Amino acid sequence: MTLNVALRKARKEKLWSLAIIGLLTIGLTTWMVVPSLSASLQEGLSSYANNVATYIFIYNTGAEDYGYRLNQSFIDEIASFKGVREVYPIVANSTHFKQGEKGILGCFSAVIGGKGGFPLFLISISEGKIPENEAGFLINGLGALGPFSMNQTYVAIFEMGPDVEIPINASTFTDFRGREYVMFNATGVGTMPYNPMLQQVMIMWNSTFLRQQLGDQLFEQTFGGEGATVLIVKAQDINQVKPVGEEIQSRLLGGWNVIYDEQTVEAQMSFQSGSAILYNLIGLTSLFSVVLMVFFVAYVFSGRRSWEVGLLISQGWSWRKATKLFLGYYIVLGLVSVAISTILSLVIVNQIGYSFEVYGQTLQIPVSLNPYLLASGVAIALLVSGAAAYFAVWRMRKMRLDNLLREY
Amino acid sequence: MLKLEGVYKSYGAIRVLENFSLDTEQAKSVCIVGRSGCGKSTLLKIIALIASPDKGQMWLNGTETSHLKEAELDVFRRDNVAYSFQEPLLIPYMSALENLTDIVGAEKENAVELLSQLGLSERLDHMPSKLSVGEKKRVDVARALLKGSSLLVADEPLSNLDPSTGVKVMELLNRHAKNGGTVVYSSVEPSDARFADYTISM
Repeated sequence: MTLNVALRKARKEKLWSLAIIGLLTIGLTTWMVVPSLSASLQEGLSSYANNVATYIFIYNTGAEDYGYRLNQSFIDEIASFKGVREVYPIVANSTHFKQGEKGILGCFSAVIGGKGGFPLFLISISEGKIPENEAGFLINGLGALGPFSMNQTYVAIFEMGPDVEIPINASTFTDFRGREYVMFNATGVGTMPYNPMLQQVMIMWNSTFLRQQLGDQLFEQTFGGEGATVLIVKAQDINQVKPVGEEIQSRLLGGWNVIYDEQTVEAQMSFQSGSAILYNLIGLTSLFSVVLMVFFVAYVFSGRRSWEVGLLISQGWSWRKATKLFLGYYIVLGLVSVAISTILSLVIVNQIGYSFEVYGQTLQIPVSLNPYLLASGVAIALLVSGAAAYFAVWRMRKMRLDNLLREY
Repeated sequence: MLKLEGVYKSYGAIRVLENFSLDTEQAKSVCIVGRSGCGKSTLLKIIALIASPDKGQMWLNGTETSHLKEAELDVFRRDNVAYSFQEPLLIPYMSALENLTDIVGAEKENAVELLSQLGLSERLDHMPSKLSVGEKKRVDVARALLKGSSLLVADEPLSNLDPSTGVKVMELLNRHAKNGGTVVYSSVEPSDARFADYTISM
């Protein structure tokens, strides 16, 4: 029966009820949304950082034709460094292109996947597709570095070394110096978003197609063999990137460059140590302020409506029963606030999304409501409303009955 | 049985009761008559164990109440006293009927019957905000009657009531006295004392 009375009280006493529901809703929504934003942002950045920014790229700046390679024993040594999860040796080679009679340029190319190839999982297509059965190639960073265009056909030219057997049906020519070349038509069928760290591998070939065009001997001579012209090192996590990068750099001779996404590494580490705490602090502070406000409302309520309890006690209610009534009343308001806050929080987080400009494309970080914060919101609402009820009754119980009834 | 002996009560410098004594026999109705502000309500609140005297003793149903602690007093009041307020006091979020059934735990049938006797059969489900002062007063008195305590204290139960309704209210209060209870009520009108067995002028 007391709960029934509490429900009626909540329904009929609109002003007080709405004031308490409003305050609790503001507090709970802030509590649930702000740290959820922080958690989502941290998770999104962390995921991006761990998936993208944990890669370290090592390449040689002095070798135009990529003749210099890191030898296998050094690659194995890097693989054993503390903080290194995996190493990916890539053999890149210079490929020349021309369109019509116009020479385009010589640029670095590699095959996709396999030993010495560019890791397939690092390829993210922004347009078109990865070349498979067609005479095509993938362009890394269309429009950012090279003059290539999507769906344009170019003549790809590979220089043949001495004593290389010319593939059957291959088109070849000899330049004025007597060097022999294999050439074939190829079309740009896909592009990757611009990534400045991958500029050492601008063109990526389907290895089956390229092997057909070059023949086994020339293919192996160009893209096979031990060692690497470009080495990609995957660090254990974002915190290991910098120390691993510095360790590798200290072991390399001049001409070799070690690069990593320092900006993202710094941003992620700075977020972990600064912004995340700030977000959580905002959520906590707003919740704390609202708890104080709810208690203030309970204080005012118990002062201005003390006659209600006075009446009940004068008519034979026990304090225990009166406490149950107020407890029921505040808990009903708390539960209504949780329901409204949950809906409101879901609406808000669905409207918010973080986006970052990363290598010319937009990294979208969706925001979701943290289930732990939602659960804690329910617990907090019950706790705060229960405590407010006890506080109101406790304050009134300290008054004498005739004083409780004095205000009516 | 209600007995007061040497009761004093002051509000600051204003002495409201001075050496007040009263001795009623069971099944008596007592009317306290006096002008406004003479201390009738204070006396009734002391009798109803809502306020405590500065000095003096009170016995109700054989218990000396000044020795009771706050919690004991609450229980004793619950078991022995019903009180009707001078300004009718109802829970605003309960209907007239619910103010009886949910506050003093009255049976719905009894509450409906009593409210009907008091001319409120059309007002059972009305909220206090929709009732006139006189109607609220009758609900307030009805609540005290339905509480079923041996001592019923009513502060000016006839105020804001038309004469015929007032007579009806007094009939009901006197029936309570005849059924073995004690009724103590107050009025500013000396003529209202005609309903009581015993009158105290203040």
